[in-house]
Amino acid sequence: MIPGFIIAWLTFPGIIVHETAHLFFCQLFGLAILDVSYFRPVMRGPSGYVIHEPTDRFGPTFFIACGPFLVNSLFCFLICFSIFLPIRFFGVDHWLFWPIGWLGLSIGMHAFPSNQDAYNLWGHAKKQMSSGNILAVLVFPIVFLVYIGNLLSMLWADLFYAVFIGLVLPELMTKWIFN
Amino acid sequence: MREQICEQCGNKYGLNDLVSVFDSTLCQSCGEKRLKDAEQDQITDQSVFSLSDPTICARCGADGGNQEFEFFVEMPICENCRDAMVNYRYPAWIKGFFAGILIITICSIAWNFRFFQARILMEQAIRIGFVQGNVDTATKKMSKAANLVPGAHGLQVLSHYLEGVQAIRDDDSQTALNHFQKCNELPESYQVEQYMLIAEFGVAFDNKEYQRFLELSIKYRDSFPDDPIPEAQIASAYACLYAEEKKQECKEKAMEHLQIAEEKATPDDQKRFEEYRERILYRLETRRILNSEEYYKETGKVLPEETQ
Repeated sequence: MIPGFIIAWLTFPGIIVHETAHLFFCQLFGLAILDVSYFRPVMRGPSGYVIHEPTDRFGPTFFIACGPFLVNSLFCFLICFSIFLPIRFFGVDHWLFWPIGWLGLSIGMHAFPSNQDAYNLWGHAKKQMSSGNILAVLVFPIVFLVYIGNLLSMLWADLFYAVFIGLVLPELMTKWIFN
Repeated sequence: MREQICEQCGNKYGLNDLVSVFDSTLCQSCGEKRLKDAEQDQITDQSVFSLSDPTICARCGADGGNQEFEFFVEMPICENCRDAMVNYRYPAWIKGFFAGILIITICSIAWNFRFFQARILMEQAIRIGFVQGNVDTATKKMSKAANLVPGAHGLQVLSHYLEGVQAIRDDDSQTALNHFQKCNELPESYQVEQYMLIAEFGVAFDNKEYQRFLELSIKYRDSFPDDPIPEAQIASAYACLYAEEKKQECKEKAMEHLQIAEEKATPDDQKRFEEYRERILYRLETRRILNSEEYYKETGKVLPEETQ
Protein backbone atom coordinates (compact mmCIF):
# COMPACT_ATOMS: atom_id res chain seq x y z
CA MET A 1 0.00 0.00 0.00
CA ILE A 2 1.36 3.44 -0.97
CA PRO A 3 1.34 5.99 1.90
CA GLY A 4 -1.21 8.76 1.54
CA PHE A 5 1.31 11.58 1.55
CA ILE A 6 3.12 10.07 -1.46
CA ILE A 7 -0.18 9.94 -3.34
CA ALA A 8 -0.80 13.50 -2.17
CA TRP A 9 2.54 14.59 -3.67
CA LEU A 10 1.88 12.71 -6.89
CA THR A 11 -1.57 14.22 -7.30
CA PHE A 12 -1.11 17.60 -5.64
CA PRO A 13 -2.93 19.63 -8.35
CA GLY A 14 -6.11 17.72 -7.47
CA ILE A 15 -5.83 18.65 -3.79
CA ILE A 16 -5.33 22.32 -4.61
CA VAL A 17 -8.32 22.32 -6.98
CA HIS A 18 -10.39 20.47 -4.34
CA GLU A 19 -9.68 23.02 -1.60
CA THR A 20 -10.11 25.94 -3.97
CA ALA A 21 -13.51 24.56 -4.97
CA HIS A 22 -14.56 24.54 -1.29
CA LEU A 23 -13.30 28.08 -1.00
CA PHE A 24 -15.06 29.21 -4.15
CA PHE A 25 -18.45 28.03 -2.91
CA CYS A 26 -17.83 29.52 0.56
CA GLN A 27 -17.27 32.88 -1.11
CA LEU A 28 -20.20 32.38 -3.43
CA PHE A 29 -22.48 32.03 -0.39
CA GLY A 30 -20.79 34.90 1.49
CA LEU A 31 -19.23 32.85 4.26
CA ALA A 32 -16.10 34.06 6.02
CA ILE A 33 -12.94 32.00 5.64
CA LEU A 34 -11.22 31.32 8.93
CA ASP A 35 -8.29 29.28 7.71
CA VAL A 36 -7.12 27.57 4.53
CA SER A 37 -4.46 25.06 3.67
CA TYR A 38 -4.33 24.36 -0.06
CA PHE A 39 -1.83 21.59 0.22
CA ARG A 40 0.04 20.00 3.12
CA PRO A 41 1.51 16.58 2.46
CA VAL A 42 1.37 15.23 6.02
CA MET A 43 1.63 11.64 7.20
CA ARG A 44 -1.64 11.92 9.16
CA GLY A 45 -4.68 14.12 8.71
CA PRO A 46 -6.08 15.84 5.66
CA SER A 47 -3.81 17.01 2.84
CA GLY A 48 -5.65 20.33 2.76
CA TYR A 49 -8.55 22.04 4.46
CA VAL A 50 -10.83 25.05 4.48
CA ILE A 51 -12.29 26.25 7.79
CA HIS A 52 -15.21 28.55 7.18
CA GLU A 53 -17.87 30.40 9.12
CA PRO A 54 -20.61 27.96 10.15
CA THR A 55 -23.98 28.24 8.49
CA ASP A 56 -27.44 26.89 9.21
CA ARG A 57 -28.47 27.07 5.57
CA PHE A 58 -28.66 23.75 3.80
CA GLY A 59 -27.85 24.93 0.25
CA PRO A 60 -24.46 26.44 1.09
CA THR A 61 -23.55 23.41 3.19
CA PHE A 62 -24.44 21.10 0.31
CA PHE A 63 -22.52 23.04 -2.31
CA ILE A 64 -19.50 23.67 -0.12
CA ALA A 65 -19.27 19.95 0.67
CA CYS A 66 -19.98 18.74 -2.87
CA GLY A 67 -18.37 21.64 -4.78
CA PRO A 68 -15.07 19.80 -5.30
CA PHE A 69 -16.97 16.85 -6.69
CA LEU A 70 -18.46 19.05 -9.40
CA VAL A 71 -15.39 21.19 -10.09
CA ASN A 72 -12.77 18.43 -10.01
CA SER A 73 -14.94 16.11 -12.13
CA LEU A 74 -15.52 18.88 -14.67
CA PHE A 75 -11.82 19.74 -14.98
CA CYS A 76 -10.87 16.07 -15.12
CA PHE A 77 -13.35 15.48 -17.95
CA LEU A 78 -12.40 18.57 -19.96
CA ILE A 79 -8.66 18.03 -19.67
CA CYS A 80 -8.80 14.30 -20.42
CA PHE A 81 -11.37 14.69 -23.21
CA SER A 82 -9.06 17.09 -25.02
CA ILE A 83 -6.42 14.36 -25.42
CA PHE A 84 -8.80 11.41 -25.67
CA LEU A 85 -9.63 11.59 -29.39
CA PRO A 86 -6.06 11.96 -30.65
CA ILE A 87 -4.82 9.06 -28.52
CA ARG A 88 -7.73 6.65 -28.53
CA PHE A 89 -9.13 7.19 -32.00
CA PHE A 90 -6.27 8.49 -34.14
CA GLY A 91 -3.41 6.73 -32.35
CA VAL A 92 -1.46 9.98 -32.21
CA ASP A 93 1.20 10.22 -29.53
CA HIS A 94 2.73 13.46 -28.28
CA TRP A 95 4.94 13.97 -25.24
CA LEU A 96 2.61 16.73 -24.00
CA PHE A 97 -0.27 14.28 -23.69
CA TRP A 98 1.42 12.61 -20.71
CA PRO A 99 1.61 15.65 -18.38
CA ILE A 100 -1.86 16.72 -19.52
CA GLY A 101 -3.25 13.27 -18.80
CA TRP A 102 -1.54 13.22 -15.39
CA LEU A 103 -3.02 16.64 -14.60
CA GLY A 104 -6.54 15.55 -15.58
CA LEU A 105 -6.44 12.29 -13.68
CA SER A 106 -4.84 13.77 -10.57
CA ILE A 107 -7.60 16.38 -10.45
CA GLY A 108 -10.22 13.66 -10.93
CA MET A 109 -8.71 11.57 -8.13
CA HIS A 110 -9.57 14.27 -5.61
CA ALA A 111 -13.14 14.83 -6.73
CA PHE A 112 -14.63 12.79 -3.90
CA PRO A 113 -15.69 14.87 -0.90
CA SER A 114 -13.80 13.91 2.26
CA ASN A 115 -15.35 12.11 5.23
CA GLN A 116 -15.36 15.45 7.03
CA ASP A 117 -17.37 16.99 4.16
CA ALA A 118 -19.80 14.07 4.36
CA TYR A 119 -20.03 14.43 8.13
CA ASN A 120 -20.91 18.13 7.82
CA LEU A 121 -23.50 17.35 5.20
CA TRP A 122 -24.96 14.53 7.26
CA GLY A 123 -25.43 16.78 10.32
CA HIS A 124 -27.20 19.42 8.26
CA ALA A 125 -29.35 16.93 6.40
CA LYS A 126 -30.58 15.50 9.69
CA LYS A 127 -31.49 18.96 10.96
CA GLN A 128 -33.23 19.82 7.68
CA MET A 129 -35.19 16.59 7.73
CA SER A 130 -36.47 17.29 11.21
CA SER A 131 -37.55 20.76 10.08
CA GLY A 132 -39.45 19.26 7.17
CA ASN A 133 -37.11 19.77 4.19
CA ILE A 134 -37.89 16.70 2.10
CA LEU A 135 -35.08 17.49 -0.37
CA ALA A 136 -32.55 16.81 2.36
CA VAL A 137 -33.42 13.14 2.12
CA LEU A 138 -31.56 13.08 -1.21
CA VAL A 139 -28.37 13.82 0.66
CA PHE A 140 -28.37 10.56 2.61
CA PRO A 141 -27.44 8.32 -0.33
CA ILE A 142 -24.81 10.87 -1.35
CA VAL A 143 -23.28 10.79 2.11
CA PHE A 144 -23.43 7.00 2.05
CA LEU A 145 -21.63 6.93 -1.32
CA VAL A 146 -19.00 9.37 -0.08
CA TYR A 147 -18.26 7.19 2.95
CA ILE A 148 -18.10 4.08 0.77
CA GLY A 149 -15.91 5.91 -1.77
CA ASN A 150 -13.49 7.06 0.92
CA LEU A 151 -13.42 3.61 2.43
CA LEU A 152 -12.70 2.08 -0.98
CA SER A 153 -10.00 4.65 -1.70
CA MET A 154 -7.70 2.10 -0.06
CA LEU A 155 -8.59 -0.05 -3.08
CA TRP A 156 -7.96 2.87 -5.46
CA ALA A 157 -11.64 3.83 -5.84
CA ASP A 158 -10.54 7.45 -6.31
CA LEU A 159 -8.28 6.45 -9.18
CA PHE A 160 -11.03 4.32 -10.72
CA TYR A 161 -13.39 7.27 -10.50
CA ALA A 162 -10.82 9.51 -12.23
CA VAL A 163 -10.37 6.87 -14.94
CA PHE A 164 -14.14 6.69 -15.37
CA ILE A 165 -14.49 10.46 -15.74
CA GLY A 166 -11.33 10.95 -17.77
CA LEU A 167 -11.35 7.91 -20.05
CA VAL A 168 -14.62 5.97 -19.95
CA LEU A 169 -16.94 8.97 -20.10
CA PRO A 170 -15.19 10.47 -23.18
CA GLU A 171 -15.39 7.03 -24.81
CA LEU A 172 -19.14 6.80 -24.16
CA MET A 173 -19.65 10.38 -25.23
CA THR A 174 -17.80 10.04 -28.53
CA LYS A 175 -19.74 6.87 -29.25
CA TRP A 176 -22.96 8.73 -28.59
CA ILE A 177 -21.92 11.73 -30.70
CA PHE A 178 -20.58 9.83 -33.69
CA ASN A 179 -22.97 6.88 -33.86
CA MET B 1 -3.95 42.13 27.33
CA ARG B 2 -5.70 40.85 30.42
CA GLU B 3 -3.91 38.82 33.06
CA GLN B 4 -5.06 36.64 35.89
CA ILE B 5 -3.48 34.61 38.67
CA CYS B 6 -3.42 30.80 38.65
CA GLU B 7 -5.42 29.67 41.68
CA GLN B 8 -3.03 26.77 42.22
CA CYS B 9 0.53 28.13 41.76
CA GLY B 10 -0.26 31.85 42.25
CA ASN B 11 1.67 32.94 39.13
CA LYS B 12 0.32 35.62 36.80
CA TYR B 13 -0.55 34.63 33.23
CA GLY B 14 -2.22 36.14 30.21
CA LEU B 15 -5.88 35.10 30.02
CA ASN B 16 -5.29 33.08 26.84
CA ASP B 17 -2.75 30.90 28.70
CA LEU B 18 -5.21 29.92 31.41
CA VAL B 19 -7.83 27.19 31.57
CA SER B 20 -10.95 26.71 33.61
CA VAL B 21 -10.95 23.28 35.27
CA PHE B 22 -13.95 22.47 37.48
CA ASP B 23 -14.61 26.18 38.05
CA SER B 24 -10.99 26.92 39.02
CA THR B 25 -8.77 29.21 36.92
CA LEU B 26 -5.47 27.44 36.41
CA CYS B 27 -2.36 27.67 34.27
CA GLN B 28 -1.74 24.93 31.68
CA SER B 29 0.55 22.79 33.88
CA CYS B 30 -1.62 23.07 37.00
CA GLY B 31 -4.69 22.32 34.91
CA GLU B 32 -3.08 19.15 33.54
CA LYS B 33 -2.19 18.00 37.05
CA ARG B 34 -5.78 18.59 38.21
CA LEU B 35 -7.12 16.63 35.24
CA LYS B 36 -4.87 13.66 36.00
CA ASP B 37 -6.54 13.27 39.38
CA ALA B 38 -10.06 13.73 38.02
CA GLU B 39 -12.44 10.94 37.04
CA GLN B 40 -12.71 10.58 33.27
CA ASP B 41 -16.48 11.01 33.24
CA GLN B 42 -16.21 14.35 35.08
CA ILE B 43 -14.35 15.92 32.16
CA THR B 44 -16.83 17.66 29.86
CA ASP B 45 -16.78 20.70 27.55
CA GLN B 46 -18.54 22.67 30.26
CA SER B 47 -16.22 21.66 33.11
CA VAL B 48 -12.91 22.07 31.24
CA PHE B 49 -12.26 24.84 28.72
CA SER B 50 -9.65 27.41 27.71
CA LEU B 51 -10.14 31.01 28.73
CA SER B 52 -10.27 33.60 26.02
CA ASP B 53 -8.92 37.12 26.24
CA PRO B 54 -11.30 39.41 24.35
CA THR B 55 -8.52 42.03 24.03
CA ILE B 56 -6.29 39.65 21.99
CA CYS B 57 -7.21 38.85 18.38
CA ALA B 58 -7.65 35.08 18.14
CA ARG B 59 -6.32 35.05 14.57
CA CYS B 60 -3.29 37.37 14.47
CA GLY B 61 -2.63 37.79 18.21
CA ALA B 62 -2.90 41.61 18.05
CA ASP B 63 -3.16 43.17 21.52
CA GLY B 64 -6.02 45.66 21.87
CA GLY B 65 -4.82 46.92 25.28
CA ASN B 66 -7.90 47.52 27.34
CA GLN B 67 -10.19 47.56 24.35
CA GLU B 68 -12.12 44.36 23.69
CA PHE B 69 -12.40 43.09 20.13
CA GLU B 70 -15.77 42.21 18.68
CA PHE B 71 -16.59 38.53 18.68
CA PHE B 72 -16.79 36.98 15.23
CA VAL B 73 -17.54 33.26 14.84
CA GLU B 74 -17.29 33.01 18.64
CA MET B 75 -13.77 34.47 18.72
CA PRO B 76 -12.41 37.95 19.46
CA ILE B 77 -11.21 39.16 16.08
CA CYS B 78 -9.54 42.45 15.18
CA GLU B 79 -10.88 44.64 12.39
CA ASN B 80 -8.13 43.69 9.90
CA CYS B 81 -8.55 39.98 10.45
CA ARG B 82 -12.31 40.25 10.23
CA ASP B 83 -11.97 42.00 6.89
CA ALA B 84 -9.48 39.38 5.67
CA MET B 85 -11.88 36.57 6.68
CA VAL B 86 -15.00 38.11 5.21
CA ASN B 87 -13.30 39.34 2.05
CA TYR B 88 -10.89 36.50 1.62
CA ARG B 89 -8.30 37.20 -1.06
CA TYR B 90 -6.76 34.35 -2.97
CA PRO B 91 -2.97 34.24 -2.71
CA ALA B 92 -1.13 35.18 -5.89
CA TRP B 93 0.26 31.67 -6.37
CA ILE B 94 -3.27 30.20 -6.30
CA LYS B 95 -4.38 32.70 -8.90
CA GLY B 96 -1.35 31.73 -10.99
CA PHE B 97 -2.03 28.04 -10.45
CA PHE B 98 -5.64 28.34 -11.60
CA ALA B 99 -4.70 30.56 -14.50
CA GLY B 100 -2.26 27.81 -15.50
CA ILE B 101 -4.90 25.08 -15.21
CA LEU B 102 -7.37 27.15 -17.23
CA ILE B 103 -4.78 27.95 -19.88
CA ILE B 104 -3.80 24.28 -20.15
CA THR B 105 -7.46 23.22 -20.37
CA ILE B 106 -8.41 25.83 -22.96
CA CYS B 107 -5.24 25.41 -25.04
CA SER B 108 -5.53 21.64 -24.95
CA ILE B 109 -9.16 21.77 -26.08
CA ALA B 110 -8.40 24.37 -28.76
CA TRP B 111 -5.29 22.58 -30.02
CA ASN B 112 -7.00 19.21 -30.15
CA PHE B 113 -10.27 20.52 -31.56
CA ARG B 114 -8.94 19.67 -35.02
CA PHE B 115 -9.15 15.99 -34.03
CA PHE B 116 -12.80 16.47 -33.25
CA GLN B 117 -13.32 18.19 -36.62
CA ALA B 118 -11.34 15.46 -38.36
CA ARG B 119 -13.47 12.79 -36.74
CA ILE B 120 -16.67 14.52 -37.88
CA LEU B 121 -15.33 14.92 -41.45
CA MET B 122 -14.20 11.32 -41.46
CA GLU B 123 -17.59 10.03 -40.32
CA GLN B 124 -19.25 12.16 -43.01
CA ALA B 125 -16.81 10.89 -45.64
CA ILE B 126 -17.47 7.27 -44.68
CA ARG B 127 -21.23 7.81 -44.81
CA ILE B 128 -21.15 9.75 -48.09
CA GLY B 129 -18.54 7.57 -49.76
CA PHE B 130 -19.28 4.06 -48.58
CA VAL B 131 -23.01 4.25 -47.97
CA GLN B 132 -24.23 6.85 -50.48
CA GLY B 133 -21.52 6.14 -53.07
CA ASN B 134 -20.55 9.78 -53.61
CA VAL B 135 -16.80 9.16 -53.82
CA ASP B 136 -15.92 12.64 -55.05
CA THR B 137 -17.34 14.47 -52.00
CA ALA B 138 -16.16 11.73 -49.66
CA THR B 139 -12.60 12.05 -51.00
CA LYS B 140 -12.61 15.80 -50.46
CA LYS B 141 -13.87 15.44 -46.90
CA MET B 142 -11.43 12.66 -46.06
CA SER B 143 -8.51 14.64 -47.50
CA LYS B 144 -9.55 17.64 -45.45
CA ALA B 145 -9.69 15.45 -42.34
CA ALA B 146 -6.27 13.96 -43.11
CA ASN B 147 -4.79 17.45 -43.59
CA LEU B 148 -6.17 18.54 -40.22
CA VAL B 149 -4.32 15.75 -38.39
CA PRO B 150 -1.27 14.80 -40.43
CA GLY B 151 0.03 12.59 -37.61
CA ALA B 152 -3.01 10.29 -37.69
CA HIS B 153 -1.74 7.37 -39.75
CA GLY B 154 -5.05 5.49 -40.04
CA LEU B 155 -6.76 8.57 -41.37
CA GLN B 156 -4.01 9.14 -43.95
CA VAL B 157 -4.48 5.56 -45.16
CA LEU B 158 -8.24 6.02 -45.54
CA SER B 159 -7.64 9.27 -47.38
CA HIS B 160 -5.23 7.54 -49.78
CA TYR B 161 -7.82 4.82 -50.30
CA LEU B 162 -10.58 7.24 -51.31
CA GLU B 163 -8.19 9.27 -53.45
CA GLY B 164 -7.21 6.04 -55.17
CA VAL B 165 -10.83 5.16 -55.88
CA GLN B 166 -11.41 8.68 -57.18
CA ALA B 167 -8.32 8.47 -59.40
CA ILE B 168 -9.61 5.21 -60.92
CA ARG B 169 -12.88 6.94 -61.69
CA ASP B 170 -10.88 9.74 -63.31
CA ASP B 171 -8.94 7.18 -65.41
CA ASP B 172 -5.70 8.22 -63.72
CA SER B 173 -4.33 4.74 -63.06
CA GLN B 174 -0.79 5.73 -62.08
CA THR B 175 -2.08 8.13 -59.39
CA ALA B 176 -4.52 5.49 -58.20
CA LEU B 177 -1.73 2.92 -57.95
CA ASN B 178 0.43 5.33 -55.94
CA HIS B 179 -2.43 5.85 -53.47
CA PHE B 180 -3.36 2.17 -53.17
CA GLN B 181 0.25 1.23 -52.49
CA LYS B 182 -0.11 3.12 -49.20
CA CYS B 183 -3.26 1.22 -48.18
CA ASN B 184 -1.87 -2.27 -47.56
CA GLU B 185 -2.93 -2.36 -43.93
CA LEU B 186 -6.63 -1.84 -44.64
CA PRO B 187 -8.85 -4.87 -43.94
CA GLU B 188 -9.80 -7.22 -46.76
CA SER B 189 -13.32 -5.78 -46.93
CA TYR B 190 -11.84 -2.65 -48.56
CA GLN B 191 -10.74 -4.80 -51.55
CA VAL B 192 -7.46 -2.93 -51.85
CA GLU B 193 -5.88 -5.85 -53.72
CA GLN B 194 -8.60 -5.74 -56.37
CA TYR B 195 -8.39 -1.98 -56.69
CA MET B 196 -4.64 -2.26 -57.09
CA LEU B 197 -5.19 -4.75 -59.89
CA ILE B 198 -7.52 -2.32 -61.63
CA ALA B 199 -4.95 0.43 -61.25
CA GLU B 200 -2.15 -1.85 -62.41
CA PHE B 201 -3.88 -2.96 -65.57
CA GLY B 202 -4.83 0.67 -66.15
CA VAL B 203 -1.14 1.57 -65.94
CA ALA B 204 -0.27 -1.35 -68.22
CA PHE B 205 -2.85 -0.11 -70.75
CA ASP B 206 -1.55 3.45 -70.55
CA ASN B 207 2.03 2.21 -71.04
CA LYS B 208 0.90 0.02 -73.98
CA GLU B 209 2.08 -3.14 -72.15
CA TYR B 210 -0.81 -5.21 -73.50
CA GLN B 211 0.55 -8.64 -72.56
CA ARG B 212 0.75 -7.48 -68.92
CA PHE B 213 -2.67 -5.89 -69.33
CA LEU B 214 -3.97 -9.34 -70.31
CA GLU B 215 -2.28 -11.15 -67.41
CA LEU B 216 -3.61 -8.70 -64.86
CA SER B 217 -7.11 -8.83 -66.39
CA ILE B 218 -7.15 -12.62 -66.00
CA LYS B 219 -6.03 -12.25 -62.38
CA TYR B 220 -8.75 -9.67 -61.80
CA ARG B 221 -11.42 -11.84 -63.43
CA ASP B 222 -10.45 -14.68 -61.04
CA SER B 223 -11.36 -12.40 -58.11
CA PHE B 224 -14.82 -11.73 -59.59
CA PRO B 225 -15.68 -14.86 -61.58
CA ASP B 226 -19.40 -14.01 -61.87
CA ASP B 227 -18.99 -10.39 -62.99
CA PRO B 228 -19.23 -9.85 -66.79
CA ILE B 229 -17.02 -6.73 -66.81
CA PRO B 230 -13.75 -8.44 -65.71
CA GLU B 231 -14.43 -11.09 -68.33
CA ALA B 232 -14.94 -8.36 -70.91
CA GLN B 233 -11.71 -6.80 -69.65
CA ILE B 234 -9.88 -9.93 -70.88
CA ALA B 235 -11.61 -9.51 -74.24
CA SER B 236 -10.44 -5.90 -74.23
CA ALA B 237 -6.84 -6.98 -73.55
CA TYR B 238 -6.96 -9.51 -76.41
CA ALA B 239 -8.44 -6.81 -78.64
CA CYS B 240 -5.44 -4.62 -77.82
CA LEU B 241 -3.03 -7.45 -78.63
CA TYR B 242 -4.91 -8.05 -81.90
CA ALA B 243 -4.72 -4.37 -82.78
CA GLU B 244 -1.02 -4.29 -82.11
CA GLU B 245 0.20 -7.72 -83.23
CA LYS B 246 -2.53 -8.42 -85.84
CA LYS B 247 -2.79 -12.07 -84.73
CA GLN B 248 -6.11 -13.59 -85.75
CA GLU B 249 -5.88 -15.88 -82.73
CA CYS B 250 -6.11 -12.84 -80.42
CA LYS B 251 -9.25 -11.64 -82.19
CA GLU B 252 -10.83 -15.07 -81.73
CA LYS B 253 -9.89 -15.09 -78.05
CA ALA B 254 -11.39 -11.61 -77.65
CA MET B 255 -14.67 -12.74 -79.22
CA GLU B 256 -14.67 -15.89 -77.09
CA HIS B 257 -14.33 -13.92 -73.84
CA LEU B 258 -16.87 -11.38 -75.00
CA GLN B 259 -19.29 -14.25 -75.51
CA ILE B 260 -18.61 -15.59 -71.99
CA ALA B 261 -19.09 -12.11 -70.58
CA GLU B 262 -22.40 -11.77 -72.37
CA GLU B 263 -23.57 -15.01 -70.82
CA LYS B 264 -22.58 -13.79 -67.38
CA ALA B 265 -24.36 -10.46 -67.76
CA THR B 266 -27.62 -10.16 -65.82
CA PRO B 267 -30.33 -7.68 -66.87
CA ASP B 268 -28.86 -5.27 -64.31
CA ASP B 269 -25.43 -5.48 -65.95
CA GLN B 270 -26.75 -5.00 -69.48
CA LYS B 271 -26.31 -1.26 -69.78
CA ARG B 272 -22.67 -1.01 -68.69
CA PHE B 273 -21.79 -4.28 -70.41
CA GLU B 274 -23.26 -3.17 -73.75
CA GLU B 275 -21.35 0.07 -73.64
CA TYR B 276 -18.10 -1.76 -72.95
CA ARG B 277 -18.84 -4.41 -75.59
CA GLU B 278 -19.29 -1.74 -78.27
CA ARG B 279 -15.91 -0.25 -77.45
CA ILE B 280 -14.19 -3.65 -77.67
CA LEU B 281 -15.90 -4.44 -80.98
CA TYR B 282 -14.87 -1.03 -82.31
CA ARG B 283 -11.27 -1.80 -81.33
CA LEU B 284 -11.42 -5.18 -83.09
CA GLU B 285 -12.99 -3.63 -86.15
CA THR B 286 -10.69 -0.62 -86.52
CA ARG B 287 -7.58 -2.08 -84.84
CA ARG B 288 -7.13 1.24 -83.12
CA ILE B 289 -6.52 1.35 -79.39
CA LEU B 290 -8.41 4.28 -77.91
CA ASN B 291 -9.08 5.07 -74.31
CA SER B 292 -12.68 5.76 -73.32
CA GLU B 293 -12.37 9.52 -73.73
CA GLU B 294 -10.83 9.21 -77.19
CA TYR B 295 -13.45 6.63 -78.17
CA TYR B 296 -16.39 8.84 -77.28
CA LYS B 297 -14.79 11.81 -78.94
CA GLU B 298 -14.20 9.88 -82.13
CA THR B 299 -17.55 8.13 -82.31
CA GLY B 300 -19.53 11.14 -81.12
CA LYS B 301 -21.40 8.98 -78.62
CA VAL B 302 -22.41 10.31 -75.22
CA LEU B 303 -20.01 9.41 -72.43
CA PRO B 304 -21.94 7.46 -69.80
CA GLU B 305 -21.63 8.39 -66.14
CA GLU B 306 -19.55 5.39 -65.24
CA THR B 307 -17.06 3.76 -67.56
CA GLN B 308 -14.61 0.92 -67.16
